[in-house]
Amino acid sequence: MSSRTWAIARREFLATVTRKGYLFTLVLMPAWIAFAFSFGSLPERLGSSRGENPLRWVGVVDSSGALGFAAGSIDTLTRATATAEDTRRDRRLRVYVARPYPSLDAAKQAFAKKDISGFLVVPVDYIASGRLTEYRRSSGLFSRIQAPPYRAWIRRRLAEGRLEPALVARVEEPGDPVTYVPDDKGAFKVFHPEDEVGSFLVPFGFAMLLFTTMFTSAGYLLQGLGEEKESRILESLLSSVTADELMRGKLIGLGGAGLLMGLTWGTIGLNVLLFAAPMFVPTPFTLLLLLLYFVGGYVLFGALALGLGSLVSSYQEATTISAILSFTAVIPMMLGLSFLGDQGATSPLARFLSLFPMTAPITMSMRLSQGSVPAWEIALSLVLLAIAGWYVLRLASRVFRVALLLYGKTWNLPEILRWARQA
Amino acid sequence: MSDLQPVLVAQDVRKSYGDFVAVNDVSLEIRRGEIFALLGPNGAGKTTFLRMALDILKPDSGTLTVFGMPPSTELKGRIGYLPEERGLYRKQKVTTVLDYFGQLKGLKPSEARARARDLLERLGLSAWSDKKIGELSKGMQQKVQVAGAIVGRPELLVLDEPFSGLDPVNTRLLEEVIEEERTRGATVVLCTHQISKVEQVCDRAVVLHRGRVVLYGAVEDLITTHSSEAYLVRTRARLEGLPGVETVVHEAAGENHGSAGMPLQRVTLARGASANAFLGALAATGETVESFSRDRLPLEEIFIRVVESSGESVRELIAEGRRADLVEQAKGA
Repeated sequence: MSSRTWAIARREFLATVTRKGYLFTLVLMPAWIAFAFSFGSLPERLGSSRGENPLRWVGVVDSSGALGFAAGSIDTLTRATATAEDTRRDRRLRVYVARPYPSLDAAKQAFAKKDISGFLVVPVDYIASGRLTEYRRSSGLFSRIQAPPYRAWIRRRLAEGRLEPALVARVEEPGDPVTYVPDDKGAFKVFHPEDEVGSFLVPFGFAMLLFTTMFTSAGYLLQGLGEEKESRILESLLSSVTADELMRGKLIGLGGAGLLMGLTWGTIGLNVLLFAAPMFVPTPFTLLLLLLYFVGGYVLFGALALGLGSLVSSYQEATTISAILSFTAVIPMMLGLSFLGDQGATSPLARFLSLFPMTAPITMSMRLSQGSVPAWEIALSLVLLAIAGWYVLRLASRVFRVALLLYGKTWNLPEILRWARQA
Repeated sequence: MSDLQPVLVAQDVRKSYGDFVAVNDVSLEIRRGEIFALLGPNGAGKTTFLRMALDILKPDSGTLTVFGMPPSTELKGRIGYLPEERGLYRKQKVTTVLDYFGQLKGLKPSEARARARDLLERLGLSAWSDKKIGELSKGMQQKVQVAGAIVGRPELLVLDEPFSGLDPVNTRLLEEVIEEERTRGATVVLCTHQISKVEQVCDRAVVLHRGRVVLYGAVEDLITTHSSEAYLVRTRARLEGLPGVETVVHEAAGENHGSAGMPLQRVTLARGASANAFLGALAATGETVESFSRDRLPLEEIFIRVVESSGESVRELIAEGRRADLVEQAKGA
């Protein structure tokens, strides 16, 4: 590698990492994610800090009489009662206490006066129809999470006095099964319900990390080249360096900028995982594989970006190409749901996307962070990615050499292929 | 000035883009230490020729050597180039850009910084060294671009339209810098439309038209060879009838009259007549002769006449030049 290549790499790296946009993204993205995660629990945190009462009053208008909820009585919706310590430990915990109302109007008046936060209407034909009506204040998408547990309470009220107390308890709460899943060695291990969220979010997190770093770098490559074509500086540069040196220097410099971003975000992400969900922290080997997929994916997409970028005359045209390239790579994330999970991970689609070089980095980052992937698939995928990267780099280098000083020229595929052969 | 050793030698060099021949069997040599002019209308093939010399393009046929070797990456550090298509990193500081150009020419970072500082001082840009390129005027940017071309102390300096965008003061400054580069030992190739500048500063020149060499040689020889057999004489003497005189044209009074209204007469001598014999007869008249000189044609006029002698009008030439320029630009010439 010549000193000129390193001089180009150094300039590209420094010019990129000192851009306001880069620094903004570097700092803002983790800050935004942190905000998004903390935002969900913000109301609870605020409520807790204000010493909000976890007790919630709800009304019941039982026209059927099937629930045996006599006037003047009250009942908690869940059999267990929460202690003050419980509500301090879990800020989302609410204790719902039901109060009967003789009519819909009476319940509505109580609701209007804010005596109750909502109410349930059980119609006369409830036993035959099963129809229920609920009134509440919030209609937000996530308000159901905080909805009163009417169903379990109705089950209990219907069973009480008709069945033995033990049966009533099981009718009210039949219980959740403890789930076992096979581990790496085929033996069963307990699957924790919270793993479900983690097994969905963590692969997407890794895929996003890889995608963003890869395409931030490739985007800056295109942007830089577009600006250089617009400012007509390329002829000055080419009088000092070869097109290959220019291309290599740009790839190295901007790859370094992408890696810096990836390492910064990755380190933050790993620390969050270590603190919040240590079971999802990838092994050093997985991290090494992710690094290899970053390098392979970046070389492939970066070379494509430079080859295609050399054919355009302006930054605007370059951004269009960038969008097309990133769409190709994002396909695995769009199809991700279909191959996350036990069956999907070994499906033909997952295997194809893992081996196809354009989609391999993102697909593999999702699959690797989700669990074990057969070694042969990893090896074959990396070999195919390396071969594709090498060929695209050669092809792009030839097109780059010929097309770099074209301004405003229209081109077609046969012409590009001719350049690639002749250069 | 030059030591006659060739720095660049082209022998039957040809370059085409499809059916369009941009450089057509060009042969020439540029000697060490000289200031050489590469002239021609737009689309004549100048830029293509320079790009081949700089190893940006490869010739289709013929041989081209620079410093005795085919153009290569290794030679790029010895050549400084100011392209006609100017371009700088507008968002970067002046010193940062010059440091970078210096490093690309093989200077160490500290060396490049020191050299950039010296050049900015020489070009009167020290006060702007920490400004971003985009904040400078067009003329200042032009000077930064010139500094970028010479920051690597090139042995061969190629300047394409170096005077465009400069005011008279800075034009003079740049002429001095070019002369200093030559004094330092650099060979300078000047590509310009300002042919009057060529007559002032260049030793030799080549004129390309449609990719071919139409004029080539020492500037003085070109002018002498293509100038008419006429002499300009500022005197009151009656020149008609003197030995060898074929025609006498009296220049209109006023604009060309010298001191005390001394009239200017254009004398054409008959083929084979001796200028010395004519001058002797003129002296014998006893009239004062204020000046006697060969009626020199400007280089630009010579160029136009040479082209027109091939049956093309200048108007057609210019139109054709524009068309060829577009083709050349589109083909990436």
